[in-house]
Amino acid sequence: MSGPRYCLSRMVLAGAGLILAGLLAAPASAQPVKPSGAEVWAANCGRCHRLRAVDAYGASQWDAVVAHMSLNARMTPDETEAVRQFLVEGARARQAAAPGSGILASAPDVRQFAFTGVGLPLPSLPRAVAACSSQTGPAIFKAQCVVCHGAKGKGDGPAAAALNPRPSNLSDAGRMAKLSDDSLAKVLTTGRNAMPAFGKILKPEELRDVAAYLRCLSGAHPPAGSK
Amino acid sequence: MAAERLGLGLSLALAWTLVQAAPASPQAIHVTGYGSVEFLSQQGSKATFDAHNLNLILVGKLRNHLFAAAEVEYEHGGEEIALEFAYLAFTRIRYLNLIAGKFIVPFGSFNVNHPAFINKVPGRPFGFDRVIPVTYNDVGVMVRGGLPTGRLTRVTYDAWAVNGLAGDPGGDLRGMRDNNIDVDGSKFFGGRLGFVGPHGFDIGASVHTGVYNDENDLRVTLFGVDATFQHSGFELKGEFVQANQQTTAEDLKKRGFYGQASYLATTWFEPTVRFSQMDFPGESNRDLREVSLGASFYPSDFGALRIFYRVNKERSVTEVKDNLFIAQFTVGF
Repeated sequence: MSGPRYCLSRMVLAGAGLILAGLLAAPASAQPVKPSGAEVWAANCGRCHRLRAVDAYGASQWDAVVAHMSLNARMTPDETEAVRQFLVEGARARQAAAPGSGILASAPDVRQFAFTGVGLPLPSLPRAVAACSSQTGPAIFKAQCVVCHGAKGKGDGPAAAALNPRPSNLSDAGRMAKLSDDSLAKVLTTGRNAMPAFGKILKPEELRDVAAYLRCLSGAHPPAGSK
Repeated sequence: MAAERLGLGLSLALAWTLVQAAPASPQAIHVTGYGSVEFLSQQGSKATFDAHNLNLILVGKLRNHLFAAAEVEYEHGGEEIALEFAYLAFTRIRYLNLIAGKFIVPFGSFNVNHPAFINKVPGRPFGFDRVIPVTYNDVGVMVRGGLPTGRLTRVTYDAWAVNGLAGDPGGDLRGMRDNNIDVDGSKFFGGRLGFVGPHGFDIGASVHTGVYNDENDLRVTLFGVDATFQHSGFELKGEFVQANQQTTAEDLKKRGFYGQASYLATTWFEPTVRFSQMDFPGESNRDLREVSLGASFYPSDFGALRIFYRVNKERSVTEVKDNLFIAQFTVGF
């Protein structure tokens, strides 16, 4: 090998070595504020291909697909884990809630699962609405929901254009007034269309808070006495 | 010598990662893939259907940090059956994924994003078949990953050592692929450094270099830059590649470029236009331009019907009437 070419090969090798050394020395604390799995999914998975519906695959299939795609997209470890949680754990929750699974068989059960978890008293959603000024609901909404439903819940988030059907308009008071607490709880817990099952992604109290915030968004509540 | 040392070091790292892999969790194995069927009507040729491809991809998370993937191509009604890639990936080291086997060389953007269900315009842009010989896969080792730089932004990197291209002096680069067992013993090295930002912003620069002839005295070096920007359904993307190829006479500089714009007007309709150009020194009949105009129709999240008309122009010799109408149905599953 002649001199200049030998030098070029050496330079490439040296550059690769420097990159490797830097990577191995990179502290885990270098990661900034972690985005939610929904955000990572919407920001990355639609870059090269259309967003695949979250119910397109089961949990183990998503596990393999996420491993494959995160390599191709060169995602960071935290981004990979966030989107894995979003898709894989969401699929597990969806499977657990499927008819015949013996779990969440009825609407009241769903509401119990979504809003109380184990050992917590079942609150009524109108009571939860009193927590409109809570910080938790908006924070969860921003992290998990804005990407599809938009900042004001109008169904116009960054990922909305790629979704069919489009995300619901959560600020539509007429529509939200017709949605019973039970129906809202079921959708949040088990998912629908491209929306993942948040039953295992969020804690019961987080589900309660974000549901309360959804009522705040539209200012609409179900008819008195409905569940 | 350096290549042997690098190979030895990476082999030891692979072995260590494998030995240290976490206890087996339930394996997640999935068969995925893509396929496309086309109707082509080109000036000067007879119209034809083409069962372009049905490619099956096996992806498997074997252990927590051990991943395998392989793609088998069935193309053009069975005329071509080939292994597109087959590799093992080790992801135990934070920010550094180690890949070994046969993989698609991540030079630029189009070489990776060529499948029909991803590529919004049927067919390759000029320059992305003979300057960078898409689809270019090779056998070797690679490290790749992403380093966080902010919320949903990251610096990405790929660095690889592969068997490389091999062929006759001044030969067509496309014919130098498939060097599965290195015939000239000379390895190619390359990498891509990129940045992924908000609004679908993705930019990168790539290089790939090595000697390609039996006498080990002629080098070919590929340079490339690629960029993509997406916002509210709009997408703009472009890529440039240049190959500097030494020959026994005068060196050759081959260049290719494309720019593409699309707009997702509704969830099911996306008009797209692409311009591409290729420059070959000394072979003016290969100096070509293309304008493709058409639209994609999406019946679901995994299928697309693309209707396009491609205008091909010769730049410095007599015009050849070879414009092309293409209807393509493609799925990614």
